[in-house]
Amino acid sequence: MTELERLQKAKIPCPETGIEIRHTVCDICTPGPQCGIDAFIKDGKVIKVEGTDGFPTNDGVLCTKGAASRQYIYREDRLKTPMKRAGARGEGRFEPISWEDAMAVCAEELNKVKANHGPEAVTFLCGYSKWFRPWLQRLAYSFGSPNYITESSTCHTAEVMSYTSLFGTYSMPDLRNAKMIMSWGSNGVINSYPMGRAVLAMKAQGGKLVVIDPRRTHLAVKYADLYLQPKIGSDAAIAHAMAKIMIEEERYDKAFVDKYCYGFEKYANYVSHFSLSRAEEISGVPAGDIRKALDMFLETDPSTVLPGNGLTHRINGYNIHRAILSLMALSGRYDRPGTMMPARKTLCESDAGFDSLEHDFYMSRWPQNARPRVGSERFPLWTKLLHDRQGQGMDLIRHMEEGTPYPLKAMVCFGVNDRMYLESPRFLAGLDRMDFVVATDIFHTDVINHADIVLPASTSFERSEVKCYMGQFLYYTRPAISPVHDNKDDVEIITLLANALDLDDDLLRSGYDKTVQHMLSTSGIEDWEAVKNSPLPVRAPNAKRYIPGTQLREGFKTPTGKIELSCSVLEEIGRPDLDPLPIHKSSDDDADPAKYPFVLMSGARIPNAVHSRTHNVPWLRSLRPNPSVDINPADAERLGIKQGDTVRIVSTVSSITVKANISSISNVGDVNMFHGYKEANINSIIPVDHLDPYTGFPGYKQLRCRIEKVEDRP
Amino acid sequence: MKYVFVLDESKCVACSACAVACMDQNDIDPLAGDIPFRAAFVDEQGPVEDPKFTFLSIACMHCENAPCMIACPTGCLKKDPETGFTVFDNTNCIGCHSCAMACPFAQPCFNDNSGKMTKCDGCVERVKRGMQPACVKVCPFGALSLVSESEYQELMRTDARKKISYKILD
Repeated sequence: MTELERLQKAKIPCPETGIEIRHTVCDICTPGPQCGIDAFIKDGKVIKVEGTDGFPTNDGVLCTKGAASRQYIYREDRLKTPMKRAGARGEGRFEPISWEDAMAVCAEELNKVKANHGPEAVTFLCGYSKWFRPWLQRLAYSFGSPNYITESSTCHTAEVMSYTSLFGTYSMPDLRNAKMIMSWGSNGVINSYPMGRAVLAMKAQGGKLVVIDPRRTHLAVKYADLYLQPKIGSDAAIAHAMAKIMIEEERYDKAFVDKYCYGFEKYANYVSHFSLSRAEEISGVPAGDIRKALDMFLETDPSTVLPGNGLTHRINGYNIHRAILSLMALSGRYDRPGTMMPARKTLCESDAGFDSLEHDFYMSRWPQNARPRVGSERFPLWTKLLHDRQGQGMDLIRHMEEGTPYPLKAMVCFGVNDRMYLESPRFLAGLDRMDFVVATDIFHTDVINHADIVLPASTSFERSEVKCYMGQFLYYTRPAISPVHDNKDDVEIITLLANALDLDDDLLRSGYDKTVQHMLSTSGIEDWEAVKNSPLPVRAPNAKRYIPGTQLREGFKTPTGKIELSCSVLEEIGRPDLDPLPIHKSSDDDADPAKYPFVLMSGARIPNAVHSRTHNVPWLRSLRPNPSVDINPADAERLGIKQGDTVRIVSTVSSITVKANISSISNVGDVNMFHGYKEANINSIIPVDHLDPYTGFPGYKQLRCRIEKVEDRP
Repeated sequence: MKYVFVLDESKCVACSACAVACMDQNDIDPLAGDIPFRAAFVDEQGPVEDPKFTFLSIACMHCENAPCMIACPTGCLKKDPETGFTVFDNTNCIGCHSCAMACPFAQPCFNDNSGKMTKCDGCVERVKRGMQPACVKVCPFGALSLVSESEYQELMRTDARKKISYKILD
């Protein structure tokens, strides 16, 4: 090999090889902790990626998924051109169409539905990715429809509701300054490594870690000083027993509670019924361990709980999450460093240290006289508590099927994943009921096959966008490569739609740069070109550090102005099935335990996947090729199941066939299954009404099921 | 300067980011049955009530007296004088698998259809230019590192001192 060949093979960026590095961000997971990427470019193609050194979130490293960015952006099933349906819905036969013609069809069909059935009959639905959400929301509202819905109907919003009902605002544990962390249903090292790194950094400085998780997670087996393994869905009983001890032994922060909390008497009375022995009986966790965890939490200051998102994925999940947060209020651990802190948002759920006009950007177009949005009557707490007025998408299947309170006739989909919906085939059948479906996505998904018009979107590598980062950073990316196919970025597509629909909305019609600069006009930035040209994130002139204690001083944005241990919004709603207190209640469904002896937990993260987005990335799929269910060795032995055997997971609704992975990550009697596989979609076996009545959230993480061994045919 | 790959087991969660970075660096195609030169493992042992988990990331150890090198009948493997890595030129490889059988860590692999041996070369060209090996660079928890031989000796001494002091304290 010549020297040049060696350099080329090693992908060394230098003039001789013609390989250059361009900066971009990874957009495979959430809008929050996106990481800086160095894309190695040769002849306009990405040939390798690395993390960007010095970048606020990742400082040079990447996670398993981000490291596979090259295969993700060049996935073979990427949509390559706009298409119109040529066969029957669901058949998957399409023919190419120009962007102009595609837009003309969309405008005609959507305006026809609007004229015949009203603008509410058009639903604007958002899945992954999420960077364009404010634009899609404004598009929906400018069109006249209140039906802007996102897949956060299943993911993040229940958490937001829990935080908001207690503290009046979304909040986050300050892991960087905490000296003790009680990680509750969160496996940070796998599901969000920047969070995991913060937990480990706390440990490295001598801090203590308690892990409470029904799964024997990486965090639990490797880093916990104390590990509690509760039965699935029993967490509120544990939290209440802790609260009872704090109150009865006068170990709670009385001054804080007197000054800042509402509903203490009622709450204290309720939790007084949860003795340690009752909590042990409900959760299976030894009483001594519960007390020990509480002692560790109270004896270290500052300390915080780190509540996992998955806690809300039970049909009593909202209460479980609130019960855990109540411990922060009771111990006076709010709004000071190292405890729970109010979170601020600048753009797309992330913070650059200043308030933007994002909320006003879409709310100023809110259709005042529209009929109620999807799910708003069924889930009144959702409707009253959320400031951004999304619909609750978990009522969508019912709404599409029953057509009440009014029929839905068209769907504008952006990155929608049917496999996030319970009994997913019914979601696709619902799409087939529509007069018109337009679907935008990066990849050719199931939903694409049910669309009339298909629009190809680009990845973060191919577009320009503004990102905000903790530490008051703002980053304006530039495309690292030209569009891989005839695709456009999502906001470009929204702009085209706004123009084709001839909406009375000049701002939205003016495109990304003008709209984002409008939203961020409060930043104090005048020269946006300079921001664009900066290779690394910059600080906005108006960015200010949050001063801890501000919220306490200014009062909470709850109706009572206090931290609400009893939710006043629920008191006002007054529905007998919605308790203002964070009550403990079984999250079990009513399937017969004799027929369905196992408890299924779906959706807990594995390192190589995020929802369905990476199942078709060969590098990532090769790490765990088969959809597999984790079964405890004791259960496996009892059922005669060996590693790699084929098994069926059966619910009252349906079943799927997968491989067995024998591991004590699952507790005895529990099974875990990752979601989003086309050939083994776990959410297809969860009943469509298995929902938390408070938040509408699906009970992904607690469903009765049965495991059957399937004899492989030779 | 000679180098040593070090895995700090206390930081590894077997997330396989290292394996993916290796696949990206070396254009590994799993669809063709090819495997990366580094792999991560979770091992679970012991009683069901109290299992013990081990998380590991394993690749070529770049042994000093590399058994693969000694086993190869056609002289494909050699030590890189600058870095101490066990590197290869598989032009003359006859696909006899002697190297793989000699390797205590089963590292040499026979990836593409040519039947010829390939393995981890320590990202030797990158290291020579002051860059980190792909797997070291990506590791989200800093579990993997590449250190010079003298740094490695110092690490080992510190580690030994720690162990002794724990013993004394016990």
